[in-house]
Amino acid sequence: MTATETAIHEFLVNEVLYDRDVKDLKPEDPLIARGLLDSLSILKTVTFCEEKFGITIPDQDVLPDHFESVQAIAALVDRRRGGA
Amino acid sequence: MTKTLLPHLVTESAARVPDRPAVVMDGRSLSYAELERQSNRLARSLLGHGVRPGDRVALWLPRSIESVVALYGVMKAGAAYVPVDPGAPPARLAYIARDCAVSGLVTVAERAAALEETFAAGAPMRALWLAEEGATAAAPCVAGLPNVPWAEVGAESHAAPESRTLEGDLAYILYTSGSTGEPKGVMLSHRNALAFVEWAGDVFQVTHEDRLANHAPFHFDLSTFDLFAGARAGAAVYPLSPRIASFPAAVARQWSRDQLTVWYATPSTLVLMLTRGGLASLDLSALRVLLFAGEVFPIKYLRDLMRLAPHARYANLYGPTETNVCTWLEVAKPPEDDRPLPIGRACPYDEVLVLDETLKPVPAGGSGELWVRGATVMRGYWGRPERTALALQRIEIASGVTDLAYRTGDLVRMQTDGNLEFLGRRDHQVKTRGYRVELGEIETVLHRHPAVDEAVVLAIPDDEVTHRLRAVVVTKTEAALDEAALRQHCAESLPRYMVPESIEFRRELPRTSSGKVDRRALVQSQAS
Repeated sequence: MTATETAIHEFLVNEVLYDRDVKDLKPEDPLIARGLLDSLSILKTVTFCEEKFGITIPDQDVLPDHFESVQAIAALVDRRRGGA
Repeated sequence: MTKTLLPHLVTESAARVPDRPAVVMDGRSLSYAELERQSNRLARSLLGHGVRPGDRVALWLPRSIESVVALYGVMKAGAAYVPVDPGAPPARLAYIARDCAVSGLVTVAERAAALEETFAAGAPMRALWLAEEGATAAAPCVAGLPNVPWAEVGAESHAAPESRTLEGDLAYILYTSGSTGEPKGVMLSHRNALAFVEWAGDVFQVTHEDRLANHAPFHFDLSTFDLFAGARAGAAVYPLSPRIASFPAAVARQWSRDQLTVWYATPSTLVLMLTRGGLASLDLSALRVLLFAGEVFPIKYLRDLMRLAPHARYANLYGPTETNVCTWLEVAKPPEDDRPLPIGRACPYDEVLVLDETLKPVPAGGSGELWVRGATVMRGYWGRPERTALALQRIEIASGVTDLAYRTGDLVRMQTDGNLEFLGRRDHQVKTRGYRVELGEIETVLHRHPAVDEAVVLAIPDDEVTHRLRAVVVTKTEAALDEAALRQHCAESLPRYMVPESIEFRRELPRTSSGKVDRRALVQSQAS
């Protein structure tokens, strides 16, 4: 996992996903298809990423394609940071 | 029997507008003729496997076109559908299946595989139906029950099975949060639903030209308007794809792009679409009617919304699950001040009474508890005669005239203009994102954890989602317990919207002089 992925993974597992079966969540595992994210979880995740990485995520970027997996969220964050 | 019941709304539209789309979702659509045939086939399959008229059949699956076929199929078999929150854990499904003794379950293969062998213990379960295209391979059997794949349903005759249902029979059972720690099943008949659906369809002039949004899941009674007022008119219903449901910007774009004409949603949903969904930059010219219910709409946001689509009609609908919508208020123009909207006046099929503690009517301008009688009032709570007797009481409604009325628990004031003003609850029931939650139910679940000594759940007011849930917990001495573990414990038996967002551990709870937990002090300590 990249550093961004690790931070997001840790946040999701500890703060958002209280279900039993996410301990082995891999960065590419589907979040939406498994029904793991509700609207409040997404708001929390956006706020976390904005504060942790010092970026802003515009509302129009908060779309299913960008929250498909830990990997997808990390890619969105890295784009907003002007990185790779 | 010629009386029109809920599934016959589809039958009649299939005769009148057979080729019009009935359900549109994820780029697929089903015409009225197809919906009629497919739901007949499912009804025959249910009956063929031993489901009998008068039974209950649970639905536990992500929203899909098939899930709409399923609820009509169940009703055409003469059974009542019992929609279980698709986000709820298997333990909650098992509780509901046992509680109302379901004889069938409609689900999908992936979920059937996740069920424990014993999930249907105590229920007269005949089979599981897998409502999805392509699910031909049988999933692992649960407790030896046959799994009926959709292809087998498709092989049934599409002729309607004979209807033996009467309008007073149950159409669906909706489980709501119960203060004693267990959800209770609100029993609603075809007549209950039709009274509301016929009125709403007429007053909001729903026609076969309309495209109705369906945002509310089927276990939430807002969906009865979308589904049944839509079917009655021969209109197209657009169930929201589970994939985008949690993304306000995606929902707003899709509804704009699909040119939906009638939206019915909770204020939380609409506020998020406004504040986070970019609604202001979208084309809303097709929007004709916007209805909201389930919680108080913050006026500043309603005003913004009405300015974005000034051509649409707006109405505030009010009513607990036990009565469906019983009062309404049309909002003709953006409110000028920030006072909360009244909940309006009684719909023509119901009567509302504002009573004091001795069940005497409160004089105009005074406040009291709201009671409701009339056509939409539930038949009772499944298997709970004592709870039913507390909720439905025979009271005097005029000199010498008595009727069963539902006690809402809502405190209201009758304004001088005849509109009712909502003042609050007389108990610990709160709303979060439009869902009704008994704080006591969550507290009961927290107490079930062996390390928990005391637990209080607080509803912290929030502009966007009405309330956020926060638990304050005192653990037993020496017991090590962290927040994640306790939330996980909650998630094993509660739907996600009832799991506290945060849990605070304290050594003790503040008390009032009478020794009760001081909730007010706790709420105030959170408001920072």
